Amino acid sequence: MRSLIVLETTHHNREWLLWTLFLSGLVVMGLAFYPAISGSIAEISVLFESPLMGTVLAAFGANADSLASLSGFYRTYASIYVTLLGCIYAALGGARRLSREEQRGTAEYLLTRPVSRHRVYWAKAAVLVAHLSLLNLVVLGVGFATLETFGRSAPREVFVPPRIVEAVAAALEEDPEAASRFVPRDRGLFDRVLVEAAVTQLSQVRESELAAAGIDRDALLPLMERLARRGPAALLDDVANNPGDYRAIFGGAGATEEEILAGVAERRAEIDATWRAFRDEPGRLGGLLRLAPKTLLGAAAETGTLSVSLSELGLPERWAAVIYAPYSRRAVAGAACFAFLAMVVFAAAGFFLSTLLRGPEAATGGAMAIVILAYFVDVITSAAGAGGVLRWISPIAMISMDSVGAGWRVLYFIACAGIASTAGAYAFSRRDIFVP
Amino acid sequence: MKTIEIENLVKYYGTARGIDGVSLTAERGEILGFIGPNGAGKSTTIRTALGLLRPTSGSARILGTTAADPARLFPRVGYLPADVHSYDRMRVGRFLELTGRFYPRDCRTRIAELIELLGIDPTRRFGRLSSGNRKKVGIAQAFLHSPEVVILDEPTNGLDPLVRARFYDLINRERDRGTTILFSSHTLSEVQAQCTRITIIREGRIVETGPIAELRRGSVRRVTMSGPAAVVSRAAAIAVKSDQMTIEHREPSRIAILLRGSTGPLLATLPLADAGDVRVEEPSLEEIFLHFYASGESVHA
Repeated sequence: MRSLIVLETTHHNREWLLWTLFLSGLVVMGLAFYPAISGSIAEISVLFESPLMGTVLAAFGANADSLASLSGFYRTYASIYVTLLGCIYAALGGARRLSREEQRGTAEYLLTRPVSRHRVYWAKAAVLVAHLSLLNLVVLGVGFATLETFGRSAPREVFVPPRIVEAVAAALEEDPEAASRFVPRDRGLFDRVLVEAAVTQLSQVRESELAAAGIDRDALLPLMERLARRGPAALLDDVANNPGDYRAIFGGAGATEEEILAGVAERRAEIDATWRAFRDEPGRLGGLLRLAPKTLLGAAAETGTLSVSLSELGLPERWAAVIYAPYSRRAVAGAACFAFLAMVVFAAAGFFLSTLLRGPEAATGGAMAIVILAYFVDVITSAAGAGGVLRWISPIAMISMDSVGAGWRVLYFIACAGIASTAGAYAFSRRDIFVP
Repeated sequence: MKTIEIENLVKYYGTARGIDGVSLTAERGEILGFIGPNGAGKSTTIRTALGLLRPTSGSARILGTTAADPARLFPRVGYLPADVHSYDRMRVGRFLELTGRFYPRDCRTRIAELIELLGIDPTRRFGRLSSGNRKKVGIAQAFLHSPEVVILDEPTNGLDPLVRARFYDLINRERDRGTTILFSSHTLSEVQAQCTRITIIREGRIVETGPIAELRRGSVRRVTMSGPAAVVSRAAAIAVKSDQMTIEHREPSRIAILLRGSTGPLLATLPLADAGDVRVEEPSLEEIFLHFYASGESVHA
């Protein structure tokens, strides 16, 4: 058994190394290229709002965010190149590793050793899976290292197209019934909405206006930081306790402590009123969305209500992908795990084909056809939106960034790989071994 | 004790015949010659017996087990394929070492002995070897685990006379130790010196099996006549009519006939006065073999 593993690894390590270097190189080159295009994001993002171009780009796994953030760009790039090429490597490996032994005559040698055909088959399968997992780990590591290197110079924020925000906000105002199901209206979310609104408003205020109101911009920055960290209520408490420290902001330079406290009380009442409106009057959500689009749309996406709400509001569901995708290191790693599982499925399909067909040419041709077909189904289902049942026939379409139905998808991959490889093992154990 | 028992083994490739009912047995401590022309089914018989091909029907037992259980069969069986294949980039020494690790026993001393005996250079890569040198590596891998049954498919092709002599030494010593050796070849003369018993296969069927001495005693004679054309054609006519005789060679004034049994009927029909030169002799085993290959008859009547 050990000899089998040694023979198998020594004969495919070189091929593995070449593919790994190739895919890692693609990742590095692609991400190095990103800062050059990141300057023109605003212009490019207009493309995603047009129904036609948006659909075409979505078909290739791209959305506005895939250009607006480096990790989004990495995901798009990785899904096209690394996943597709990795699947091709897996399918070729599955199709060739058995059939090449037969073609060059070493199958006769291996199968007259004291090991069963099942052992030979599963040892080969295990080594291929090990090669695939190592390839994915290395490419992912290279991806993270490159993200780290180029990440500092690239914008990381999620980009939300203003026209879409306006359309969603208007629809929410018109349909309070649907708006009530848009986001879970709790206090924590409300606080985050206030923070985003405050930060946005502040960034839009001109320097001269602040100066006219007697407010020092430098004094505002630590305040904003405290607001972001502790929330509005705590900040107001702070102001009430030490009104002197906030003179520059509440009421201007000449304000007395009483005036500041009155201002705080006014603000508190205002916030409470807004909170009650947020909680009890869904129709008011539209207005808040215009003030804090990222927080609200992000919350809707995270709780999984975004695409449902969009269709309820009569808006295109595919906007969900355009508006928001929760990119994070974890999400990138998760997608890499699914990509690895898809590669295992293609490897199993390759093994199965190679046991049915004679000669590596037929098997590799068949395996390539399967990968291309799966990719084609992925392109079609992405363009059509959700894609529904059709997605289930393509392992590539089953890889995606979000974690919707992750458990079911893992089961799907394992079942596909298990069925194909077991059928291959059965066919291999019963077939005639030909000798060149 | 019978170590190889092949019974009525049939292998069809779709509708194409591979072998059609091959039976053969070999004893412990015996070298069995397995003779047949190219395409007769020698390799098919061997590969089916070893489980590389699935038999259409029939059975093959080696040391009481079948190829369905490789983990029990192959520690005790060595096999040299007709064409030796290995991993081209691998060095020969490494290949033999890895092969040895498939077996529970420690094969290292045996590998060193075989490398020495056959004159193998373990540092060379397999892909760079000539066919004769590949054959040597093949022989080493067939013997390195000291198997009780060794199946050799055309083992001497491409070997130079010196290595061939050492190889014969090797198999004779193995036989004396009680190893069973199945020695397949398409030339009888080479097997003749090594084997006591042979089995002849032709077009997928066994046509002959038995000790070499018996084949010799098959009382086949060659009658060569040279004389007038009339005598030669009369002799030819008699030979054609009889199922005991076949014309081996014919010229206008000379004819060679192989016949079984008595030469009387043939000679009696000749007018003594006209009979020119008549010679009766015992043909060599090789000649009998070649002749009956071509006609497909059995050597025995």
